[in-house]
Amino acid sequence: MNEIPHDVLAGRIGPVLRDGATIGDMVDLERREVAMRVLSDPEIHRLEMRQIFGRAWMGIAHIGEIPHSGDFVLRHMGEDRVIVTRTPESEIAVLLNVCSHRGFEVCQADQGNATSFKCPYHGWAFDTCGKLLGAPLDKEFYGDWNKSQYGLRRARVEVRDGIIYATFDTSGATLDDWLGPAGWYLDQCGNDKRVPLGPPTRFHVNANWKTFMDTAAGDDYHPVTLHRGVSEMGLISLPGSPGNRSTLASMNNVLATNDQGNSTLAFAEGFPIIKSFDVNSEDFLAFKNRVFVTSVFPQTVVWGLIAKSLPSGTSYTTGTLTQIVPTGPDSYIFSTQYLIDRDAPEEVFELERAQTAGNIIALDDFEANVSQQRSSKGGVGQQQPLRYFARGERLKRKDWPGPGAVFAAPLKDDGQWYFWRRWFQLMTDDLG
Amino acid sequence: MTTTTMEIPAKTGARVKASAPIYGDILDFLIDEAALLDDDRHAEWLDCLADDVVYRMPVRKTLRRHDGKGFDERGYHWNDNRQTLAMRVQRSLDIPSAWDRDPAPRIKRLVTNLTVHETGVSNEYTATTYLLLMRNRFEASSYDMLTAKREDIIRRDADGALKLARRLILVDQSALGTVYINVFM
Repeated sequence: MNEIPHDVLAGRIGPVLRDGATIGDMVDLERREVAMRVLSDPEIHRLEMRQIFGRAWMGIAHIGEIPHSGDFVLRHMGEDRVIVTRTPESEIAVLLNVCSHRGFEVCQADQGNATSFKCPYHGWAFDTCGKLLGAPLDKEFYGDWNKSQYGLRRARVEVRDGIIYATFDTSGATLDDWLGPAGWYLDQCGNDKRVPLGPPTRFHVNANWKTFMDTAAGDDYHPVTLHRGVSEMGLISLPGSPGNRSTLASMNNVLATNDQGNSTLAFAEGFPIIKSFDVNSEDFLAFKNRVFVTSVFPQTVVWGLIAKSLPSGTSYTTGTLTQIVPTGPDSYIFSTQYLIDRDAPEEVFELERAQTAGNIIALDDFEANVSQQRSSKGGVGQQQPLRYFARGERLKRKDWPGPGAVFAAPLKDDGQWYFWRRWFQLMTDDLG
Repeated sequence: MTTTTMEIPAKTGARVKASAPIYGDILDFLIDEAALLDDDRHAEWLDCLADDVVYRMPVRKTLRRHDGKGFDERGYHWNDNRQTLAMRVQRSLDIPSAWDRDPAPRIKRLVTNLTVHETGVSNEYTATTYLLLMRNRFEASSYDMLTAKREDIIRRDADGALKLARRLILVDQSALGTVYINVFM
């Protein structure tokens, strides 16, 4: 059994906050509740940067963004900015974008190609491996110094199914450890055979990063209400909407979650999506089976295997890489890139450029996130719990080929509860 | 890339002076258009669009100067035609569960700095404007703000009415400061 027995985390207290409350006070393991204070408390946010983002593996780019030596993109790991680049040996390097001398950011562009990064402050220059190449007048300043000690801080990097993951953790936990059973689902996505459609589309949302990641961890209860609009438009038929006699209980999906706080929502065959976004192209978005949406704690969401076809019969699949980047307790950057089969004809890329613009479904999610954030600001509201007490034991599924704790159908909060258990575990770990 | 009106250079012909009648007609058109959107008269707004309208807002990246201005035609916030714009209108106003629209946000579109140029086509003009869009909701003291340069192609159709044939929205923010979607620019 993959589930963490309650007693593993029970009794954990974790850091003590300024008013005497502890992280242990924020989570009720028995009742499956989390105090809303965790959404907007600046002290908790600072702790998260160390306890969670300082240790996490995060999916930050796709290999297709930096095909050549010297190509780079600028990305976030938590609130830190990093350069994702390719060395002359074609190795991927992820470098903290902070000069080792006085902290000026050595790279200012979102994207480009460079053989070195020169700090505009005093001129220290670094190669694409992060090694310090030289500094003006260094002999006069530092004499016979050991430059090798002053490189840019370099993250550990692993590539999984085409997506570049990195961590600043030095303790040795591998990406495989971090993903747990979610790795199996990521490997089914085929994102290593795709290329990014374009650069990420990004915008700021006035809400805590956890509001979005909580939903992404398997909340299949919310679509029938929050996303009712797309059903009212006739784009997607949700249970209970006109002409759809199915119920939430009969929705044919599966959730696979795990102790690492990562969850995969799998839309199995028959998921009731009836119409495409573009009224002129009803066939294009005809969902087939095997759509995997995996949230990787804490800031990455990966989609894969959305099967589509052109009228000509050409079929192709797509994926996405989404990052929920914290920018303070009260805001995150939503960043999404679409991934398309590398060998797809150009017309597919053109079509996807039209269909992926302006996601009207996520629009609803931001409304929920922002409202929850406002609620968490109230003196009383911040004490109110977020509740996850729909227990899924009765929905446990044994006949599913993938690993993890697997549940059939919605009607449970387990994906999100595993997310919060992971949050609680990492926040109460003693890092010394 | 398939060829669209987007590839037509924005300014192919002579500058049209502000004193010319067509300049005044285009100015009236753009001010009326902004008012239709601010007042939620979206069905009438759709009538301002040519059947073959191309409506796009490319992603903007921060680049070093020698790498260009950063507009990337591989990624779009908006990449719409008449049908998809009509769908977004439906999403905005015609359904009960558009949570971002009810209660209604207060939006003002401030349209300024109009320059008009002739094109190679006798009944089409390019109109470049600056847009400041401000959106307020609930009791917030602050506004969501978006600034952009718009490069439009405006066409006088057979009936003499002006229609928007293309809108290219060149936004200033690389990570938009607001959840922008379904707020027509």
